Amino acid sequence: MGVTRRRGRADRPESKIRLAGIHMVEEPADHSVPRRSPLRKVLPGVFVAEFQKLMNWGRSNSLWYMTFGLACCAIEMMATGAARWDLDRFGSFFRASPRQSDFMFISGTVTEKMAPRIKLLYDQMAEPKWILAMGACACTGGPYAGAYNVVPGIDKVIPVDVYVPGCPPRPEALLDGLLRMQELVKQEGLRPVPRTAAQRAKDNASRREAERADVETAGQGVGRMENDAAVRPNNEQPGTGEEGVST
Amino acid sequence: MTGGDLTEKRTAAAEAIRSYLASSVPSADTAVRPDGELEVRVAPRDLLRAAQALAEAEPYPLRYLSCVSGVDWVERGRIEVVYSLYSMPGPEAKVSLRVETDRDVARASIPSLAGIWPTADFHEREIYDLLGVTFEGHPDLRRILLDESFVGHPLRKDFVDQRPAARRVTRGDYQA
Repeated sequence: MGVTRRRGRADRPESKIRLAGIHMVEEPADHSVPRRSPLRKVLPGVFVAEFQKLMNWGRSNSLWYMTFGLACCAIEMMATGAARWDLDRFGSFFRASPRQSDFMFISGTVTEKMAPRIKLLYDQMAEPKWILAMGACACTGGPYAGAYNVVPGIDKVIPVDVYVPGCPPRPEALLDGLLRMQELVKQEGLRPVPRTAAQRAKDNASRREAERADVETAGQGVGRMENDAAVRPNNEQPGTGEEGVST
Repeated sequence: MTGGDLTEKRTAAAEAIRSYLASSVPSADTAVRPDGELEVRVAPRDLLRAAQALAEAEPYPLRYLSCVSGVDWVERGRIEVVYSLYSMPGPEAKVSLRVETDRDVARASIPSLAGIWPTADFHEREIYDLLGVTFEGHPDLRRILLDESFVGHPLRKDFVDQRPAARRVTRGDYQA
């Protein structure tokens, strides 16, 4: 993509723009804009794209995740974020605040004491937001399912977009999960965000319904871990959890 | 120091502490084990006096509280609390101070030893949290591991998970 700027005026010598020590050379402007159009002055180089695709492209390549770890999986997550596997090359960085985060790795065992804190952090994240459940514990409670203080899967508390099983998952598996999450983000529509109270209530009702069905057919929960990383179809709307959540 | 030397030294120290304790807390039930450890069993009402005496015992004051454990003797209807003590410096003396109390949650109560060994603070909170023993005079007796809203004391042998069904998973769920 060439760098263009307005032509110098006759009464003034052409300005020399220097940016970071690089001398920017003038290039001819885009000829698709008519020579006499006023657009020429403000938008010398114009390109056209579908706004939705452009936005999804930007979002999927700058998925910032929260600096947040729960247990041993967090060590593996840190390794994936560090130099050897290097999440940075996918545009993903640790952010130290839920306000600046696009998604969250649930990396480890979720205890009953921690669950409300995770819910709070999730509620503090700005829409749109995604959740990746990392490891057996975050998916279903893992080896600790059935313990008196362990939540059998973070999806009992907040909606999950991508499940990455493993104990812990290899960094390669986590990267695969991230790439699948990027695929999800690329399918995002321009739906109004935040959703209306009515939509939220509907989501919550359907989620509760699903939970009840889950309880009745308990044990099938492990089935969804058969694939390497199971992805929720995009047409399934995530519920936001309890009613009255500030948006 | 070889094992035999250590046992000899510990046995000698245990005898010394035993006679020291006999003068200040005569009701204490003491026994020296073959490895030289001194076992002291006291009633809850004598616990504070016995602990004070052990902390100041001559010539081996037991200044180091290594661990506090709780044991649920569900068949006998008793809960036992065990304080593991060492003399510092050196391994000369090893004492386990044992006290038993009622298993009923409302009556399970013994005096706190946090005033004598600060280590006891967190350990006693843990036993309160998981076994439901109240420590009288504890500076800050709250649950330490579980949330305040948790119902019950999970390390009791007859504990029943009170959480909603959606949060509970049993072995059968995975065998289906």
